[in-house]
Amino acid sequence: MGLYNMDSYNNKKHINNDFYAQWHFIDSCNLRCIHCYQDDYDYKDIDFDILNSIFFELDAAMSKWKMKCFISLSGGEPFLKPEGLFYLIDLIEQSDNFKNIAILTNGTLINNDTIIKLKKHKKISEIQVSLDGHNEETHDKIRGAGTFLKAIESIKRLKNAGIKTSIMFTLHDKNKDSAANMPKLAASLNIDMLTVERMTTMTKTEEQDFFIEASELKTIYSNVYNEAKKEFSNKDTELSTSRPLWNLIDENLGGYCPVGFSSICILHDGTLLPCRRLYLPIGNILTDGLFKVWYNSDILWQMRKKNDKSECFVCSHSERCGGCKAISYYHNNQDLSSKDPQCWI
Amino acid sequence: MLMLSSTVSIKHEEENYMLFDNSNGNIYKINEVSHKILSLCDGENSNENIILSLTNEFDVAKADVKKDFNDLIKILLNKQYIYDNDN
Repeated sequence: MGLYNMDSYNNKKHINNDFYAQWHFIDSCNLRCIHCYQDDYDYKDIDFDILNSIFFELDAAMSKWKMKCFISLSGGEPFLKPEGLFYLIDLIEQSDNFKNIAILTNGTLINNDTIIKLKKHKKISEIQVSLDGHNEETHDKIRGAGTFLKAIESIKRLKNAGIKTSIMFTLHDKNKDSAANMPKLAASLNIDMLTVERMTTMTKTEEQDFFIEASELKTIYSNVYNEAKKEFSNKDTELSTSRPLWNLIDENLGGYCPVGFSSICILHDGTLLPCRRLYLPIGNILTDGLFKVWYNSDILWQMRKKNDKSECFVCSHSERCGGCKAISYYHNNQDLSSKDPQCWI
Repeated sequence: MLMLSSTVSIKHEEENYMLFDNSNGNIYKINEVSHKILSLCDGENSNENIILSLTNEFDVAKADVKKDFNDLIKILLNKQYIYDNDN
């Protein structure tokens, strides 16, 4: 008895045997970034029993579904508790059900010892460092004094050690002028991948402070794309363009959101979310188990469903776009199937 | 009265009917009649009530429904996906 293909509920062609899990195994963070979705910063010690239980649930699901998991380990700040991080990495490395590991970090706590440990693990495919500005002034206003130089230093260390390193630039109104400068910075650091992705504004206050209107976003995405083409032409650096809206820039770019089909977000206490940007708890992996939540969550079924009334679903770009459901949800009165408010067509 | 086990759930989505074993992840594609039977296994409907309900809804002979019902129930009881709350 294999997995009955959830993708039969949708005509988007993105299904394969890859599963993506983003596991925020730690709640604590050493920074207080102005745009962060993290409300609570609970400084607890790592509970290894919880780590084990969550891992075994996820491992069993991958085995049952015959899928290979690409897992991102994040927080909080994952390097704040290296004992938990490397314990998990060891667990994951021992399972054939996990393909690759990415670590999502603010890049302020990576030292030479960390690099030595990272190098020992074969499944670590990427360290993603958040940079929210192309210069110290922009980045530090968002993430705190001194954080830009620390992050840059970490990136250099990682690259010098031969570790695949990417930059995540979370785009919003406070750093939009930096966006088109990010490709130049990424190229100068020999970064492997640059991701420029919109912030999900979850409240009216956040919307007022951070939201970028669609027409302006179009200009920003176009400028980033053109700069990346120029800066990366003789480099191995790539611009990540697999997310919604990029298809509007170039028909060969973009991707339909995998939420509900082949991705899940797990918080430190086992709470399951469709996506970290969509704070709609759908169950708890520790108490419900992943199978029960995955098969029975009304929210996940809603996201799998064909919705012929949805403007994004009937759009000619829908195969490789479909909009961001989280941004739509928060911007459009909690309607998951409404049009992406930052779409410019 | 028959009841669905707490580790099992059913789903009707568009033209698809499914039975989920939430404990081990198994997914069974089932047909509309089986889905109806399972949805009526709520601990309140007697077997006779379930058969009668199916006969009315699907316009088939009672004897045929009874045989299909008994065959399915036997499998489900065996797999412990349903149980008899009278026992």
